Amino acid sequence: MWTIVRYMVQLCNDIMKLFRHGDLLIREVLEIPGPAVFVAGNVIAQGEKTGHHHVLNGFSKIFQMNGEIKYFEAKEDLTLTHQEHNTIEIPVGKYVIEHEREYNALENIVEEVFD
Amino acid sequence: MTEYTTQDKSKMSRIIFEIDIEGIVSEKKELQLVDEPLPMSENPDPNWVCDAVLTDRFGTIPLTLWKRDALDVQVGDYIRIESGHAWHGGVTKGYEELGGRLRIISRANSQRVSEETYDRIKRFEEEFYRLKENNVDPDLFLSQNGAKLVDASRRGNELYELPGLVPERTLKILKYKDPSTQQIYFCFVPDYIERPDEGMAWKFHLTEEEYENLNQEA
Repeated sequence: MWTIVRYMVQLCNDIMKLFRHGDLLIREVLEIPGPAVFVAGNVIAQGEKTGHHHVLNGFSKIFQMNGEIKYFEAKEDLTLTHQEHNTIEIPVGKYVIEHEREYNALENIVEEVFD
Repeated sequence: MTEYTTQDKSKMSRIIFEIDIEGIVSEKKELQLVDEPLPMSENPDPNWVCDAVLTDRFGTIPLTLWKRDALDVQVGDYIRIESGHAWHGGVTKGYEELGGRLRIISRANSQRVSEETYDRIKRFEEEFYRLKENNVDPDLFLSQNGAKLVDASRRGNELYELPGLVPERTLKILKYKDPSTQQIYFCFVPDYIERPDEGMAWKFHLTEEEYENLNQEA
């Protein structure tokens, strides 16, 4: 039984889509968690230093968790644009957004990157 | 000897400081000895913070504190305590009102080095982050500081190792290009990273296999 469950989990992991867009990693998920809250707009990440934006173009819904934009649902095939990075295509689905991280070897801490 | 740390000096001068945490210790625990902090080279988790003492109406409990993503425990932080107690609501004044108090007594990533070594580390750090901020190719700087290229991947990522800067450690530095702009970037990665693509995968919370099979990258 557990072998089958593990196989199914592995299969899901294998077919879930992964995209990198600049400092963002976008990973397809089966469901958006219930506590996530819908927020209006189409910007999934905004650069603190550069003022650049990662923008979804197409019919989508964005969700926050703990005050941070964390998930989106692509209701149709989307494009993701940014002032510096090439445009990528995101197919219909649900996705979690993760930020690139950096290791500060001299302070021995891990930090998320917001460019 | 100088205590080496890159933390803000005003904070570090308070080696012992107190914070208040939200939560209730539900049962009295026997006092336990806190293990000696691991040397940095053996630290399995860079988010390991420090040893601490938790005092509440049941007594005093030595603890090892763990925290995600940042070193200093502040209001609103998530903290996890190794003994199994956990507070997800963040650090608040609530615990003090219950008579509890948390004292941090030592930090995992403090290391004592000579003043000469301390100065060398500080000079390296300043130049490293100056070049990084200005997106300057670090090749010459790394070479001058004794860094050696470990490996380069088919995707153009390069991993360097830097022994000798911090005692007992070999630092790892990843150099990579943005796939859209071809701009060169570089950063530290954890000391245990051995391959450049492993370093890139770590940066994006991926396995190497996932990084290899990204659907699109821009």
